[in-house]
Amino acid sequence: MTDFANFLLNGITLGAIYALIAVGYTMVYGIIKLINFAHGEFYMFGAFVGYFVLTGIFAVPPQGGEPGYLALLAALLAAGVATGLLAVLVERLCYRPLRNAGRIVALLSALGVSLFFQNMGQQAVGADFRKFPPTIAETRYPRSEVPLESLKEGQVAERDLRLTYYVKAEDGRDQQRVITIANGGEAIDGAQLATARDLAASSTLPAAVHAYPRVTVSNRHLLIFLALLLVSAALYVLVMRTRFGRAMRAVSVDFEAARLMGINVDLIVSGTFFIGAFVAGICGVLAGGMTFERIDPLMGLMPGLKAFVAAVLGGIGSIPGALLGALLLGVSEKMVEAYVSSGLRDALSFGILILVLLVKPSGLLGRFEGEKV
Amino acid sequence: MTQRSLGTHLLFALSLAGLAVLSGCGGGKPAEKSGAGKTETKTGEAPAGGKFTLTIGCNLELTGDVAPWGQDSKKGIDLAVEAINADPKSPFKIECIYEDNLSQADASKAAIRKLIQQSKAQVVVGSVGSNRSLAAIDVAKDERVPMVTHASTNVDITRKGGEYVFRICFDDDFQGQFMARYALKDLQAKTCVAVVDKGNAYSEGLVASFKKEFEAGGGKVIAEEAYQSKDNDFQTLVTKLRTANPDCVWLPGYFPNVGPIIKQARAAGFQKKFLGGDGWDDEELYKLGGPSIKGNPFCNHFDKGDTNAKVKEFVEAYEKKYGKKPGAMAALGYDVILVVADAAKRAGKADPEAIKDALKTVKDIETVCGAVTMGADHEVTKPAVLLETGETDHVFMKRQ
Repeated sequence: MTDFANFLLNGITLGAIYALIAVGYTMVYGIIKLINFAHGEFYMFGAFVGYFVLTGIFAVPPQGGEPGYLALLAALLAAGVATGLLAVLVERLCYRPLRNAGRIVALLSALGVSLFFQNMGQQAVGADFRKFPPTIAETRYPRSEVPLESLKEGQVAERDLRLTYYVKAEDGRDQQRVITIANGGEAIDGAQLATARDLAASSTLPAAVHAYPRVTVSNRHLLIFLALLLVSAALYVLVMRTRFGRAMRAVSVDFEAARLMGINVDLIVSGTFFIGAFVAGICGVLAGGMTFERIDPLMGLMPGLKAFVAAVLGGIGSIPGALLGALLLGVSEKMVEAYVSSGLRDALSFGILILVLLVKPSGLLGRFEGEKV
Repeated sequence: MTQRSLGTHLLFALSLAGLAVLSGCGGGKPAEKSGAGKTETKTGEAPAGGKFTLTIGCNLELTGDVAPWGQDSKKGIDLAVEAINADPKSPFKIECIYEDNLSQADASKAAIRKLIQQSKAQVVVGSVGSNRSLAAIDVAKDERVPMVTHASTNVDITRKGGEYVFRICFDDDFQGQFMARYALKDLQAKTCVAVVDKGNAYSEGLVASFKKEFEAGGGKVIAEEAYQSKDNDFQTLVTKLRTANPDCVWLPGYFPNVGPIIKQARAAGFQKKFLGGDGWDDEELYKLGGPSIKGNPFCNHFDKGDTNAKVKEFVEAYEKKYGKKPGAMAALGYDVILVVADAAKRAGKADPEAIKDALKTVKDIETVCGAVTMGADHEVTKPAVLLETGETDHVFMKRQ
């Protein structure tokens, strides 16, 4: 049961990551009916911007550097804005001139942009993966503090007991470390307890013992959830409560009519690209960088395709649909990984895609669109 | 737009994306030259009078996932080539031609073909990874040019490679058995979970040979789990490990995955030892795994901390040239040139057929990783070293 809860939590985390990428896909499709296959590359680009901000401006060593939340915020903002501007540029140069050339032509252009970024990325920063700095110390919740003195050798631990302590890292900063004293249900080992006491005594900042249940969530995952909540709320307000949002909806209903009504459609399209890429760039730092800690120029490929599947599953063009589709896809993938085989995970995702397209192409929350003349 | 046409449109889009994925992996890097050409211009020597030129093609992972290994192999190879070309008694000059296989199997096939057909290599060295070597053996067979892998350990390479394929390192059966005996005797382990990098011939081979030896010795592999080399999130695997709670975990993968797996396992409270093979040997392991990677044993071909005289001499020369200490890939790269050079010397000419025959009779060549004698099965018998991960590097345990 605890295993199932863990798998579910992992699935929701993965789903949240897909959702942050999928909203950009679905918004762009909603406005100009273009499947922007380069969207996964925006995720990659954001991760690299974050990496260079952290290692360059904050001089964080890739391994073990934990400069904290301020540096993270700076990296997120820089990644979001830079990726958003890149997307505006890509739209201006590669999609706008083709807007009246037919959807297949624009789609081919999008594929070209995607390949361009993958290969230019490999030329510019190399094909090898890089270690992304952890940025913030990892903490898991829920937890409760237990005094170290109260622990006795041979006593059976009710929950997982871990010691958090600090050492001076090479760059002179205090680096957080964690060791397990005993897992829930196990007796406390004398030697391990002695080690813990020594480490606590030598710790550069106050050390603490915490008790954890079997199902915990990391602060990094909480940040991803938080980002998703903020993005969802902000998009709702933007689309439903602002003039810009009303214009977006008008453009999505009828592009030409919106233009005739005096809406600056080019501005709306650029704005949509900016917002979608801003979110993808942030996700690149939070997920691809900080959580998985490995970045490379091809990292956007799979998440991009998965987000596309999520957007189609939820109904492409619909923002709530993309969120729902992404969460469903994330949970299904993790369940297949846990109970069937990790080798079938990707087969499942693309199987879902084909099934949706054959049975209900408009997706779960998509609207049926009548033929436009 | 109707429902049907939306579906068709999206399906079409996906198939295009699939195409893009495939084409994104193509393309190679132009060949690099080193060895005789460079050395000659540097020292200003006249073209070698009376000496013949031996062209060695190197099919290596110079970029891609395991590029650090390909690059280290190249450094070892260059060092050996330099030494041989500087030796006036050598009956030939070596010219080394490098081809990058991008750490991909299909690119490896193209690389070895190019080395043989265009660069006219008389003998081919490489690759590092078993998948790349397995992809290359058919080309060596068809073209009738000997191929010597210095670091690929999958057993099928020599079994399926036939007449023209040789190996100078120990194989997966050896590594799996070695670590299974260590788990049973030194760790007193009774149960184990094996974790395989699905689709990686090296990892699958090591799981099979470990399991056989471990269960023959009275242990039990209670579960086999799998991951994909592109995975980043191992939470599911870690949850399963905690629930299975084995005495140890057999994790014969490559360092880009091993680091994150152990790190995530330790963060989730899984405390048992992970055991591995030569795929763990890289500094990146400690960057990816952080300090929590400490205390996990693995076997390897070579260690820079070894006290053997030949090893010390090699480590000094390597450090002088490159400013850092060599890893196992550099040592094997060095060794493979010594073995090939010995065969070419006895063959007396730069002829693939003659070199192939001479490779079969390689006997007692002193290399950095121990004395090498080629067996009838095109395999060598060698010692292994046992190492253990520390916080920032591995520590030498024993050689046996």
